[in-house]
Amino acid sequence: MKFVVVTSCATGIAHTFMAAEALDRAGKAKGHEMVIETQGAGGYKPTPADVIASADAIIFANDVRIRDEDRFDGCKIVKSIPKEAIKNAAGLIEQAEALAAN
Amino acid sequence: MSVFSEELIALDLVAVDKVDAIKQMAALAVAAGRGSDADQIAADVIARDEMGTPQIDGIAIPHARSAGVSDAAVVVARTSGVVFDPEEDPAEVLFMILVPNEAGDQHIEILSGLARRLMDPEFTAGLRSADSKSALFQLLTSGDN
Repeated sequence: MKFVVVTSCATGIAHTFMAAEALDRAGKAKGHEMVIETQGAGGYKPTPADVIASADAIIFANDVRIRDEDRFDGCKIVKSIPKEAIKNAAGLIEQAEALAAN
Repeated sequence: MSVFSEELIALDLVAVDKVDAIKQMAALAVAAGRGSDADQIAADVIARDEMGTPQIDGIAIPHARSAGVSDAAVVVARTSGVVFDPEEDPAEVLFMILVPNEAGDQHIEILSGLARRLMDPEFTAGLRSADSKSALFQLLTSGDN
């Protein structure tokens, strides 16, 4: 499957990137294609619309608002926080798999 | 200037609690010339900690932007265990990321690269097993960040 991950946190220095790395590793470990968008203190590169459209599901791990969230309108989204992603990335990947299979 | 330095490493920090650890690490940053005001740095890190400090597998990453910091720095300390979050195990390795208020994107890139590497089990095993400050410094400055 193909998942797009978007992470964001209050200072944009640590949680954002740790959560992104945890989900990237957990997803790839199960053979998924992972596209990562980190919305950190240094800004972010918006994932292109065609990539979002081709994803089986989206995973948000944020504790501040996702920027340009309307890009994901109509997508299947697993919503989470960075702390959860860091602790239990594999569990979130399972949720995304289940959501995508529905 | 690298965000790392041997002067910013404490292999056996003895601290009674997280506030004590943060204060000692802030003092280390000032002693190494990375800032002017250890009290201000400690206060800013403690304030950020109240909103949650990231932690993974016994490694805690207290961090802050602070007016007390002049040059971005990462203070690394190994301890016998400091509780940051009562829901988590005590942290044995502390990475304190300090950024000046006016930090540019370059610092953020370095620090986000570090945050990523902390998710790599080989890197974190090396942090625990390095037997000298210079060995730990080599590990921190090797690789892709």
